[in-house]
Amino acid sequence: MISNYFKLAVRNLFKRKGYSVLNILGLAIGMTCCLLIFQYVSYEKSYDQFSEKQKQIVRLRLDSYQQGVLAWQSAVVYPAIGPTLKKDYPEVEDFCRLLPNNLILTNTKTNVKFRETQGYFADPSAIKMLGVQLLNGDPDKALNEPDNMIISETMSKKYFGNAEAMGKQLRIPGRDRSYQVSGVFKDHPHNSHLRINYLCSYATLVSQLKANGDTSNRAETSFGWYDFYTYLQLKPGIEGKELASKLPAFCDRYMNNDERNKANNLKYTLSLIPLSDIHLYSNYKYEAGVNGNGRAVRFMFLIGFIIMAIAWVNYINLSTARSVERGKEVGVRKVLGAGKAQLIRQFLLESLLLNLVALLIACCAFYMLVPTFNSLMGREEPARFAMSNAYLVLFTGLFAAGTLLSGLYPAFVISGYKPVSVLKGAFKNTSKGLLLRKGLIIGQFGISVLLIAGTIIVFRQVNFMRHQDLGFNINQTLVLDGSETVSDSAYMNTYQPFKEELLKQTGIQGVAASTNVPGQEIFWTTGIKRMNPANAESVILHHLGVDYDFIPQFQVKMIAGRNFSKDFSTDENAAILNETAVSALGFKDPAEAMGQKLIRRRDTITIIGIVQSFHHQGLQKAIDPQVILLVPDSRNSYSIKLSSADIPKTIATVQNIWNKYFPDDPFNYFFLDDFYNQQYKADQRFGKVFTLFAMLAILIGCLGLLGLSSYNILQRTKEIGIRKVLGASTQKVVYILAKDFLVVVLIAFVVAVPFTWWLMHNWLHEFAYRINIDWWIFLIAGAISIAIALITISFQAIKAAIANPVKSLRTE
Amino acid sequence: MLELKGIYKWFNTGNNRTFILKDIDLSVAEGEFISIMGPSGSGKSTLLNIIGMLDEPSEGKYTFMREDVLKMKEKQRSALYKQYIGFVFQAYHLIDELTVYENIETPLIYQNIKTPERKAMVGDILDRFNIVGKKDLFPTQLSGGQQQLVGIARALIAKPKLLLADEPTGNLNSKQGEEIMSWFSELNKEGVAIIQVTHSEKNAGYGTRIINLLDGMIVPPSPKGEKQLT
Repeated sequence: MISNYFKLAVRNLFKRKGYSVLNILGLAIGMTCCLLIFQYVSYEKSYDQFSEKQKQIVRLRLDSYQQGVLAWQSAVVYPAIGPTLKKDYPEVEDFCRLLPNNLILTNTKTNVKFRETQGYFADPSAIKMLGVQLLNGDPDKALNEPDNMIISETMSKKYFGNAEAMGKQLRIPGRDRSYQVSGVFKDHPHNSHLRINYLCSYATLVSQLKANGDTSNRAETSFGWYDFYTYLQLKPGIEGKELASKLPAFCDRYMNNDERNKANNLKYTLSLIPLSDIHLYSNYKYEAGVNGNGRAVRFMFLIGFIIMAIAWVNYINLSTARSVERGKEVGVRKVLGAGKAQLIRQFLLESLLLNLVALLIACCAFYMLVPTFNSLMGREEPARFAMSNAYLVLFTGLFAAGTLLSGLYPAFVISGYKPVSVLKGAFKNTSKGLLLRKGLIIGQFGISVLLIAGTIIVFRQVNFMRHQDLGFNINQTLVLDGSETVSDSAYMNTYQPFKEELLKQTGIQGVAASTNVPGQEIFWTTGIKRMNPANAESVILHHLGVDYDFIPQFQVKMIAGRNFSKDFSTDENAAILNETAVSALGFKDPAEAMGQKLIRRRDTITIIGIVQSFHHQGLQKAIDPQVILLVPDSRNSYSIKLSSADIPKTIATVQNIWNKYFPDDPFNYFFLDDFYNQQYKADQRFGKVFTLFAMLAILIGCLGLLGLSSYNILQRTKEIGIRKVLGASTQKVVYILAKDFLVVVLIAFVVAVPFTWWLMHNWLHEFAYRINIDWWIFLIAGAISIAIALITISFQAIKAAIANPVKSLRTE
Repeated sequence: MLELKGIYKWFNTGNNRTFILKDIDLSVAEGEFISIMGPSGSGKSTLLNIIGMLDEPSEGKYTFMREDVLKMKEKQRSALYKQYIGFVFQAYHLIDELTVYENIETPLIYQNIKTPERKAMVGDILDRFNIVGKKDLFPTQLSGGQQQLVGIARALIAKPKLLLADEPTGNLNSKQGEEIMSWFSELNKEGVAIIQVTHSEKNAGYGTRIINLLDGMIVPPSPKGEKQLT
């Protein structure tokens, strides 16, 4: 019997090619999307889950409240917190701290030299806690001694080729210091929130500080230096919550009772986040890297489900639409003795077959599209396919449930026909299932409206961010990573001639040094307070150190006062504030702030100028209160303003000059506008993916509408014939046929608008600077949906309307 | 073989009750060949459907093989039906996706008969109706007469005691119609009871008894053999 059903199912697929193609295409597209999305979600959720032990690891976060208001939340904390927590609370089994430590390293034997990032000073416990897999070296000892470091396999190849790296020295050029390689580890997996290229022993940091005259062992005892990522290993069976409930008391004991904090009304709290949640749910200041967006991932997951649901809804729509055709067969079979159960089984098998064909196509498409999709999603190793078993099971379950459910309904409807009504005379379908079908269409088109409006809003937001006036000019700016190897005493005598020689070149309009460039997060912050009134509270300001040329070169607008000038020897103790800082310090307006004195640590500084607040970072972030200080020997970044002529040649010239003055420093550069716009990459990507899936969802929806409208028209063939005989024009007939569907689409629109508004309103709230959701966006989305629906329906409607009525009115 | 007593069939339309069949009494013996005649809307097909258990009367009693059909459960009725009744339609109603062979085989599948046995039975009947050469064709590749022949073969495959035919020659030309009717006579001689609905006086003549319906009621036979035209 099964083989009979199977044969029949195959023949049916081939006989009704149009329907089969619509059905299979819709299902296959849906399944492909669903697979791609599940694969993506699965990867995003796989971060930092390398071992069972890591489930017990949490990272600390520090929140600062100034005058009772939340000022910032930071992913880095004080170095003393880890050891103190371990000492005070038995729940804490171990801790490890990471302090970013970017270096220029060289293998003096081969003279290879690179500027390295993603390196940290790390406690010995980091190896085990963070899942660093040593290929060489002893995990218990590798990070115990000062001036030891462990490096990744890739890094080992870079410096030592295929030679053994263990025990070799890596020198820091220009500084009389070198590290001994005490271990080589397998490249840290990409699905970790940390990129680790190398780890230097924490003891190195301690000894370096001591050599620089630190008497208080700050790296172990400081409750003020917040630069340390701190992870805690909790005892087995201890939940983060248990420890978290004890942290307020800890903060009061060690931090909040400090005289200075009390005087300035500063209060700190600590929170914990599980290691595996950092990638998706931690987006605070000073993260170790750009983390994922948990909300976007959840949103994608939802879209995967929705697309799959739309595809099955289509299947239901199309197969019930086909039921008229199948009705006769059902009637005959019943006359021949078929029971309802047998018929249901037959139709279920058909639907299973169809779904399997779709699944097969989807799997092929999936394997072909995975690399493209992953690179679209910005994955660093796009070719790698990663779907955890959990998601595979989820998909399989979804497939089984969807196939069964979408097959059952049509099977019940079709097998329920009474042979008498089917086999004799004109067979009319009952309007019983019509409401359900209309409901399904409302759902589908509601989603279309949502996706179209969502697409428009996402693009407008990205566009808004990219084209907003930043408050300064970053075009045609080449940024060089500054010199690290020249000693402080010799620095200005090297930099000054370097700069002068650059300025002599054609194609170079200006050179400015600074501690930081736009697009980079500012790590240099300090509390500053007004001298008057005497009881003013301290406010944390973001510091930017610049030379004399920075403000004019970047065309930052001065709204009061003046730029730093060599004519004023006092400018070393002068400050330029941005407007945000002016109001943060409690001045009524820039005029009031001008000339006022501020207390910064032990110094008194005078406000000599106010600049218009500029977007140091992307528009997702609010502008921080900022103070600009004169630091002529800033050596982090050199910004070179180019004129448009022959840029590659200019870069080559710059490099030659660089090598002349800074032979020990690698030459690294980037273009500031590209660099700055990278901040919008994730949102642009989100926009693209959103559009892609919106289009696919709408396409699938259209396939369904096409099927349903052709079904509806089939039902009304006779009515159309009569109307035409009675003199209805083609347009009139098309109007009559399209009307019903337009009403449905309109209802969908009305239902979708508030939901869309709510959803996109939420999404926009992640951005400090955002567009308004204008009413016309919905109008456009509605118009597009209706246009799409109309075009889809017209295909069939026009065909029916121009058909010869004689044919449809012949009875037998 | 079967007996109908006081069979009524009606529909409620608004406040009115529209009668399709009124107080039908009919008994059919084994081996009879009955032709039901009457104008359009006289209730012929409804009567046939009720006899064929595809439809239920609104009122009345129906005994088939000494069993009260209307009191049976769906399953029992279906079993009874499968065992004793075959149906032939005016529009043939073959399943277009199945070949001639498979169409004929279908009732046996629903009776859970095993494959080798099915093969033998279908082979026999193909042979008997001289359509062996057409067994792998699809219905659309056949002429109307051939399709109806397949329809009859399919109705007979399960060896029913009663063959119900709803205007079996209605879509055929006169030559094809005659052929079908001669098959009916032959089957009847072999002992299969036949009830056919027909408009054709000539076809009705093949039967052993004619029942005339008018407005849902059986017209008592008139001695002159009054003609009922459609």
